[in-house]
Amino acid sequence: MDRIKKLLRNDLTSVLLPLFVLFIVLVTTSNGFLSAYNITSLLEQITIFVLIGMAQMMVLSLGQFNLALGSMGCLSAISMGFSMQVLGLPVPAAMVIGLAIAALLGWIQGLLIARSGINPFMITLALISVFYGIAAALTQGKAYDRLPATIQKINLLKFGPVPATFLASLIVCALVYFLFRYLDIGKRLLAVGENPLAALFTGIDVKKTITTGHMVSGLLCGIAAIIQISKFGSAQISIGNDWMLTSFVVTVLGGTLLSGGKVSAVGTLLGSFLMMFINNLLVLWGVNAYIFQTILGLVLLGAFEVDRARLSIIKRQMVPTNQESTEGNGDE
Amino acid sequence: MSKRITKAIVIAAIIGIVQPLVVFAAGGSDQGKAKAATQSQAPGKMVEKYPVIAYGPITGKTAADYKFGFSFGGIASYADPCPGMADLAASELGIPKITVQTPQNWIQNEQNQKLDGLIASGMKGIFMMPSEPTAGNAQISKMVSAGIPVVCMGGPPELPSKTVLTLATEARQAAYDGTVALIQAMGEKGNLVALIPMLNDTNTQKRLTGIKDAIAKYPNVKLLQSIADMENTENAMTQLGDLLAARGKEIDGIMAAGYTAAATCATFMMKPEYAHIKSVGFDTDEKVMTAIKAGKMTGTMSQNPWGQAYISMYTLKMLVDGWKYKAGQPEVINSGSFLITTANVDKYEQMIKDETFKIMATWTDRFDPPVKM
Repeated sequence: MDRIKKLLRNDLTSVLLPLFVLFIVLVTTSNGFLSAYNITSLLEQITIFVLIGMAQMMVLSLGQFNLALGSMGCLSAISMGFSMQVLGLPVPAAMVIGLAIAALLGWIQGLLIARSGINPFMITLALISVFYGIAAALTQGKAYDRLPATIQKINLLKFGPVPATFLASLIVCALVYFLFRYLDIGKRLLAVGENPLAALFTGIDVKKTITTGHMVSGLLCGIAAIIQISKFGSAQISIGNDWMLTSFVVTVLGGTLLSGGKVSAVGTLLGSFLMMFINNLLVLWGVNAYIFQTILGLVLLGAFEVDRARLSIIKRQMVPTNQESTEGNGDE
Repeated sequence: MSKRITKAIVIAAIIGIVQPLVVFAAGGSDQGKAKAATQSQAPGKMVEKYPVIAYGPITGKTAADYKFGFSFGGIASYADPCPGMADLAASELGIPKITVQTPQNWIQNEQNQKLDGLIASGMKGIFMMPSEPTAGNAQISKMVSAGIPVVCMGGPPELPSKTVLTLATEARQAAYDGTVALIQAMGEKGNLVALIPMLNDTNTQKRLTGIKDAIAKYPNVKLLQSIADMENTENAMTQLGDLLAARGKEIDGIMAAGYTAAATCATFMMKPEYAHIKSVGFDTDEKVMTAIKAGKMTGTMSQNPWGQAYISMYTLKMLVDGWKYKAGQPEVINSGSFLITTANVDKYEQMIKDETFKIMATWTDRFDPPVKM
């Protein structure tokens, strides 16, 4: 019983349990779930979820949101497409430019939040349109689709059914874990997220920390943009337009707090798997497209409710009542 | 077991029970929707079975080898007839009915998940319209590399593509023809407004080109303004309403080159204050047809989603049977577009059937038959 309690107290339980259940359901109800094609497809999708989840997590650690995450990815992708197709730059140089622009966009966002005094939510909301508008103006709605073949080879590289891009996302996940666990910047991000005033009094440069957090978030969006261009074989303004909701869901499912101060890189990775399994389940069950979003929302609410219920159970069992202390543990 | 743990388990169980009930209540899967479409829209047998195309599975194959999937680029009324016509073709061919999975939004990542799910659930052929023409190509290449034949309809992916062929309206030509008809109704002079769908729609840029090419032929006609991204009804009503309120008196003609745009235009054209505006739409929404019959719209350019779905199913059957699309055949085949006016508004369904039958009459000539063992 102690082992079960210890297992339930672990934050990852709320994502591992439904993940395990869904896996069993998918394996037993769908012949094609474990096919090489499906595994590769799932891992390709999960790659993007992990990267945008990490990007959002960086900002959630500060207790803030990055609503412009998709637009950052879009403008970064467009800049890479422009570099390759119009300027004729080689792929590595274009990628460096794209990453630099993504980091710059994040830095601008962080700077505005740290220095302007305007509500961070409003700043990121406004920047969605600003970044997207720049991308749309540059492209006039057209895609950069005459890119070097090299960029697509990134997505085609596989080790068995496992895409190399997925392995790259695992490396990014490990680096983010390392950042929060062992580096000072990680501790400063969490401290600011937990309590900005207290962080200030401990000598942390809060404004610089906020700017750095957003900049790293932008950089991670740039990495996701590279993967997306490689997958599509083109750079277009639709890149990133489905990132925002997913980025929140995978991080929160994984145990990151929306209020800041607590993150989980491993949880975000597992949350990405959970999100993908839910999508896959609904598709394999042939759920009507018209109610797909409704079902998805209900399932996600259910996941949050199970998590809330689990935490409630844990809290009750950790606090002995007068009755329990005199009559023993009645639940066992 | 404590009450709290019981409560948590009950919540999880409720979710597991409610989900299929909700699916059932919502009309089942897209299969159910396809069945309903068949029952309400099937016009009867359109063509005889072709003796050269084998009925049912060929020797060495089973029904499972003929499970085909359909995915339109996003939810759109244009594709509503498709499942019904695909199922009609399936029944004529003696193969399983179509499985439908369409993304809610016109986002390629969403459609890719649907397509991958279809293949994971055993589909052996796909006909589809990509959500995004360029991004969709990567997914098509992936499916074809996995041995799944792909036929596109409604609009082609960016060419060249690994799709076997695309059945679509020649978008530029249809827009051109519709705009010429509109300009002639305007008396070959005046200000014209173009309403077009999403910029990332495979057809939008072509339609806009067709409109501009037609206007260029008439020196006394000017393109006053073009409004894009008219895909959402609410937004379209707001955009067009604002334009008409601000510049209604300057506008002499409206070319509504999209389904939602045309339906929105028809709504406004029924109002007496816009009687001076001539308009031509796209597709056959009920509002558009009503406006044409009432003389409030000049006409509409009908496409052929019925034929596109029907012929796509025949094509997939042929491909799985071993037919090969001949080298040198066009990548995009025009499935027909028709200007519907008050003169022929009651006969357009027959026009579309006739066009489909005309295409089917020589369809197998485009293919090399299977090699006989």
